[in-house]
Amino acid sequence: MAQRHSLVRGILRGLAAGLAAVLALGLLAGPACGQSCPADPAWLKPDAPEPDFAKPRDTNCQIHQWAMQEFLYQVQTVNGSARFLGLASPHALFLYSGDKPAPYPGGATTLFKLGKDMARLRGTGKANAASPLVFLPRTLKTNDTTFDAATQAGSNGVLIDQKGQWVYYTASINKVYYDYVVAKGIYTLSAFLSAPPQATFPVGALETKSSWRIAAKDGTTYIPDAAKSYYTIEAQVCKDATCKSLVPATMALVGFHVVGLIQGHPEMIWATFEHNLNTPDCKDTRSPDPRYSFYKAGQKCGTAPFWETCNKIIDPKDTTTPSEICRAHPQGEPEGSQGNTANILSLNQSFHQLLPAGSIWANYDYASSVWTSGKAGPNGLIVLDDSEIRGSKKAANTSLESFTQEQNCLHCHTYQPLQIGACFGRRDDPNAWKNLYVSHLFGLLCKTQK
Amino acid sequence: MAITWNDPIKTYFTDYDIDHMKQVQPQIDLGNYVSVKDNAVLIYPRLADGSMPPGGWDAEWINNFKAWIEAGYPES
Repeated sequence: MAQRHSLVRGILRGLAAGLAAVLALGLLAGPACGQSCPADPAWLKPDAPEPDFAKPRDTNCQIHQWAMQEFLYQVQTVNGSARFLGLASPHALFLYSGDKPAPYPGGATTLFKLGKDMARLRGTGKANAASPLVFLPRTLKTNDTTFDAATQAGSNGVLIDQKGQWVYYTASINKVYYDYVVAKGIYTLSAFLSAPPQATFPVGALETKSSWRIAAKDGTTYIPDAAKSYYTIEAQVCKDATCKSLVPATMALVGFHVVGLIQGHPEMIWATFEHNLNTPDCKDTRSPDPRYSFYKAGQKCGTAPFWETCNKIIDPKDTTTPSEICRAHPQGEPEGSQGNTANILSLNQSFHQLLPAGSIWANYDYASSVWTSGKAGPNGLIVLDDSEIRGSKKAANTSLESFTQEQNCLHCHTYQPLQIGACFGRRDDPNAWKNLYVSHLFGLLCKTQK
Repeated sequence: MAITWNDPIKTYFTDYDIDHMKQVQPQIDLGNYVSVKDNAVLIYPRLADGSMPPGGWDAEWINNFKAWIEAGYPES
């Protein structure tokens, strides 16, 4: 009898274990029930391939899935660090007059030093492979700024964390982008200005932009145990605002854009990811949580939709008072496509469920993406009318577009001339419009060749 | 009287304003309810500081635009 009971117990235990295994496998190997836009477990394999940029993607979910898969591909560990850190720096492509870019990922890098002399640094190797990586601050977007920098796109604002430290930014480009620019010769200002309006980057072209907090600098720790909750790297930053010398620093990733040209979308897909302790949602202020990077616990941000006391540059010359930021549009609402918010939430949930225990990427969320219907006008220019915007109409990252959350990427990344220096013409001059202006990296040409 | 898009907000934008804005910022169609609603928080500060449109709006129009936003952007 006892043996029989034991047998029954064994069978029950076996069934329970089997059920648990099935449930666990269900969580690990596939989407949970009810997920409208799941992540694929294959994307998380250490050697998972890059998503196919040429594959037609007709639905809102399919484009979000491209964004998530590309993010996971770019943060794969390659030679000890995230893949995107090995991509070429735009400084290796847009050189001084008379210089030709070396084969990808480029050779000598052009970097600028903050200060009146703005000396260029040559022969330092490509910026993203310098050891350790050098981050440089930049001042306002003028002729002497860089993309390895501390001011934000659109606003020129310096984001200052709750420890009083600047947030730094860096950009990188993939081989498809780089080789296209070289092949077309548009690494010179004159050739770029002569490029036809309807020309676009090829399918597969990619830019990344990332934002970083200082976790530790020059012997002082600002984020205790940063490596437990942030992706961190060792780098160098300016010792102080004069930037006359560099000091070692541990940098913590707080935001990440992946921007890629997939089939049918010459405007590119603008996708953004961020650390979950950047800011609370504006509607949740006054949050008492003291852990946020860019928000003081208990701060009141005002009322919707203006959030009068947050997300503002109070004094552009003040580079020490911490910024007060909240997330005005958590998934970039309003929707440019029906079901957009639900798909982002679903993909995030699925992605987090699939991550192995202890993964650093569990601390990061997919925030939003924006793209268009893919239409081209009769002049070959991409169509950016409000009715053609898809994804999130307020796609923004609280660490990259902290002060411009009422816009999306395509408000600025249009076919219109860059308002950097005096190289590119008037924004409202149709004769100067060209699709390639969606990439603002061409702005470097106005710094190096004018 | 309730402030709505159809009366009077829509009437504040001239054909010139609509055309010029599309040249400067293709995503903002000042003649379209959805586009103005979606971009109203972006537009309002420019109205309030007088930088848009050329010549500026008087205080009553600016206040009405803000009241329209705060009322939840009613169309009619």
